[in-house]
Amino acid sequence: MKEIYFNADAGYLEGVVRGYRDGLITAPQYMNLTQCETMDDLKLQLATTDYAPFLQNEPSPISTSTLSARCTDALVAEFQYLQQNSAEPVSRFLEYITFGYMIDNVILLITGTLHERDTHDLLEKCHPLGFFDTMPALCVATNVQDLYNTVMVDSPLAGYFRECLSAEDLNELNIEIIRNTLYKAYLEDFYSYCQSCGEPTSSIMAELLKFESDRRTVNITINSFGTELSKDDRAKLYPRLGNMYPEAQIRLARADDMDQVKSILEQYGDYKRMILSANMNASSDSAGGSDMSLEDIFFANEVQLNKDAFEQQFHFGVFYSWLRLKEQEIRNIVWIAECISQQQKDKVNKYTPIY
Amino acid sequence: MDDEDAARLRIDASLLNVLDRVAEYRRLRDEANAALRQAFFDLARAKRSAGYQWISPDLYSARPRAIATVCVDETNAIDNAAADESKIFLVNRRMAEDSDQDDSSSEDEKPRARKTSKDPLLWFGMLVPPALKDAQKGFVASLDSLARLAYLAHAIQREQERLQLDMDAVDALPK
Repeated sequence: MKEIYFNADAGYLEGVVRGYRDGLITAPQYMNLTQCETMDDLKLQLATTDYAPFLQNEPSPISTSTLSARCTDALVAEFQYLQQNSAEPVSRFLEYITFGYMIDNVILLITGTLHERDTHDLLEKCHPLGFFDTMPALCVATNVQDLYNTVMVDSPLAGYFRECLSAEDLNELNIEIIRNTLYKAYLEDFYSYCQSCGEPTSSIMAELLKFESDRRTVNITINSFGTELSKDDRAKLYPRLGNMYPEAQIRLARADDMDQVKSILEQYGDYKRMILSANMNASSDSAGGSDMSLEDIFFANEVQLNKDAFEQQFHFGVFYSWLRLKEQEIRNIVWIAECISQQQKDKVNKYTPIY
Repeated sequence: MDDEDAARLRIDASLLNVLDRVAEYRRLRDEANAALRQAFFDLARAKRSAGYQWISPDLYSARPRAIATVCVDETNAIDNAAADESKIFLVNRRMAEDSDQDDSSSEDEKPRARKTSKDPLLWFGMLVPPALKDAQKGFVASLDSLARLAYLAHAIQREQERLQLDMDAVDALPK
């Protein structure tokens, strides 16, 4: 019965986002992009995509950072159209998606202030989807208590700060702990909210958020090797959801190198299949240089899960999935651009295909 | 004739020396080129992994301090051709303990300034992707090669000038 009322609230926006999905770059278009010799060629090929209005006024030669920024502008414009035309409950769901970008902006501003960067420069570099009213005031905070009492208490992220208040000074280690603790609280809260939305949103988003949590767990583990982060602190940063929670997380918290991480992942059915299929593809590919890293495996699996979300109707997961697929597309475009500008044509095919 | 023969032998030795240095220069340039190429590629991989927002000039410190400097000692190069070549272009890397002494003056001006670590890798956060660490290693390793290349370019030019003077001197000898 819910499906009957879904179209009244979100039918138009679901149609819009499915249109956005159809605008994603296809395999033949990627082939054209990878065959470009210069950045101008790449810009010419992108003139047939949804990025054309944002790239046409950029002077040649275009840099990869400018390309990334303009592609992000395109994504922001489309998402903001969805937000501006949404009402409850879709608006609440879209708002939840923006909390991740708010966390990124908070960390960017704190880090920039720590390094004595100019406030106005920092604000211009923030992600547009993560803006909130009290954000500019972040630059005056010197410790976590000030940060919470003067700024965050009135922001949408206030509830996520509860677990961060034990840290005192804002240094590199504490900022990283704050960042991951905020994101952990956000993921858990988003998961709870999606469960309250009912089927099919709850099951589709559960799978996506659990995978996101697993990926964050693995990334935190790998990136913490050789740093000051202790194993106990590392374990506290893992989100308390996902297929790896709690058993695999306990083991990953004790891992010391990549081999241990891989051996732990291979003991869990889904990840073992992913790693084995990646190894088989690498060995059968005659072009060479196609060995997939763990990161590539995770990107590919994320793309597949997000594509699968479009197979069902009447759920909010399509908005989240479209956004993630679009971000992956931008990642692919910038990767191809980097390979072209650095004359690394043998690596240009190491993007994650979507369609 | 003895003077002319001695002069010609000196010219031959100088020419061989120049050619050896040119060969070393080419070899070192290819090595540095490969190391820098790989380092830039690792940087691209790191940006793809962490996000292009997180590894960009926007996160650089407003007051960066070099952790390596290149010192140029010209006195040995001019006065003593047989001097130890490693003293001509020296790459000095600042140790972590030196940063505390440098911070003392800045802390007087800004009592609220926070102590930040010396390693520029930490500008991008504590948990950076391994590719960024690989990129840093590549750039650091190539610095020694680049300093050596600068010395070799200087030495080759000096040798060429000396060679030209010797050849002019031989031409000026009475036949």
